[in-house]
Amino acid sequence: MKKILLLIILSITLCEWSVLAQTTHTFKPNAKKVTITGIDALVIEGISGTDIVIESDYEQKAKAPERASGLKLMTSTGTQDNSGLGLAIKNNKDGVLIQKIESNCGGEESYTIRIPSSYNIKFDHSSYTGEYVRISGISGEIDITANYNDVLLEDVTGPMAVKTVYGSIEVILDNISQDGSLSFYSVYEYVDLKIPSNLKANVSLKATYGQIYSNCDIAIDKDEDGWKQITTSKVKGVLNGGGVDLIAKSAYENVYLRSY
Amino acid sequence: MSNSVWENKIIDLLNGELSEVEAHEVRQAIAEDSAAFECYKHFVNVNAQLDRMEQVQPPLGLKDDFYQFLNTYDTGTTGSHKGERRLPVGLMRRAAIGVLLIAVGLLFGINIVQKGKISGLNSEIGHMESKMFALLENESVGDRIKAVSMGSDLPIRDNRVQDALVRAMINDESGHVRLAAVDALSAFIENEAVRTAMVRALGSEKDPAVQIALINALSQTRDEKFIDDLDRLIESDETLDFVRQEAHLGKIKLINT
Repeated sequence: MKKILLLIILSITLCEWSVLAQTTHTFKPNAKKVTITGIDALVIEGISGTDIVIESDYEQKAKAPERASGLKLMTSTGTQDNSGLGLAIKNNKDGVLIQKIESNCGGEESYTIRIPSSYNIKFDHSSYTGEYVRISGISGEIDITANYNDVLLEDVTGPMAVKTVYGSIEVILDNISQDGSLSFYSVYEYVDLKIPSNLKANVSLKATYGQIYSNCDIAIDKDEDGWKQITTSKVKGVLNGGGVDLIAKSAYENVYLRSY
Repeated sequence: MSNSVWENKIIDLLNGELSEVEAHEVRQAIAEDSAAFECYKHFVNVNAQLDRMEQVQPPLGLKDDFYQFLNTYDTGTTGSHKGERRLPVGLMRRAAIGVLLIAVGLLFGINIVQKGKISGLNSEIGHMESKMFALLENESVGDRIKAVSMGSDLPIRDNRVQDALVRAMINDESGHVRLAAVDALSAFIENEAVRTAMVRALGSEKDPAVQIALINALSQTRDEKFIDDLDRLIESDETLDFVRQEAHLGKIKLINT
């Protein structure tokens, strides 16, 4: 009886280990610009090293059938998995391109990509399978264009340009670069920004068919005719005397700007 | 540096009263110090309003009227008021001419100050425009969005800024910049050229977020002539479903308003 129990426990442990096992791919980038496309569930973390490290549960969930052994997966873009993680990686002096190859098997895999923190990052996703992109610890420029992914940013300094159609945007800003601008736009979901109370910024908030909520002390701008630029759907003003351009807009949902 | 010192420096800069070195220092401070930049923006706006004011010109007939008045007064005093104590006529004439000269001088002085301010304003707006055009050429998307934002805040002097925003809306490779340009140009939707440019952009735009922004902007015009453009988008096989739905909504807004 003890042996049977031991075997059951051992097999459960092995199963869990198999499910949780992550495969890693590491390489040295030839440029400080990384473009990532088509990954449904993605975490990007800034690191202090010089390598790019990709970690995923891809192999366990989307392994090709034995019958496909020795054959190449046909894709419309012509890309091939050269990482063992279902990703096509191009690494040249103009930039690094990490592209999810098309596949009808699996599809629920998630990826964590660790990138040197000062690198510029561009993320694109257009398919309805998009889930989320979460970025932290990056001081380079961030450029995100998605249709369905939720976007979560934390411990990032900017400049940033984020737009998503069906995804929400949540951002916690800390030490913000005063270069460039910070732009966040969602069509059908909310935009929620948390900023330090001493942030110097020129603020432009717009919620065309939604509401704007804030606890920040925004000095409202006046237009040429002396009218204050504030309505239920639009606020334009400055924080702490003004500084970097901070733009947050949602067409159909609410915009939240909170200080801490 | 205190706010009042900044104000004085910036006023001097706008009036062109600083040396090259001082002007460079103040410009640098404006670029780096947000409080100085806000102060600068304030005075630029004040000057923009002064620019739109009509200049005060002294009436051309003032001098003739004045001499006519003097002659009349002279004649009157030598006729009906004999025996009264009065100043000598020559002295009165000189005093009157002095008053006239002071008045004319004041009027001209006001005009010179205004012209100086206008000149300083034009110079600074030109400087901001140059900065905006330069930022639009930058590789950084964040910088180009900042340029578009600057363009939407600049006083309208001519079509150059608006044209630059239109070019950004149609040609910029980044959807973020095109989206920002649509938003900036929405403020000028009453302008026929802007509406025409938006229709052109809608015909070529592939980014769904920008397409939706264009549909929303055009549907605010309440101009039914855009229905055909929305129909083309609805009928296109390349149009995504949610964009098609927005185009339908846009049509409803145009028809019902």
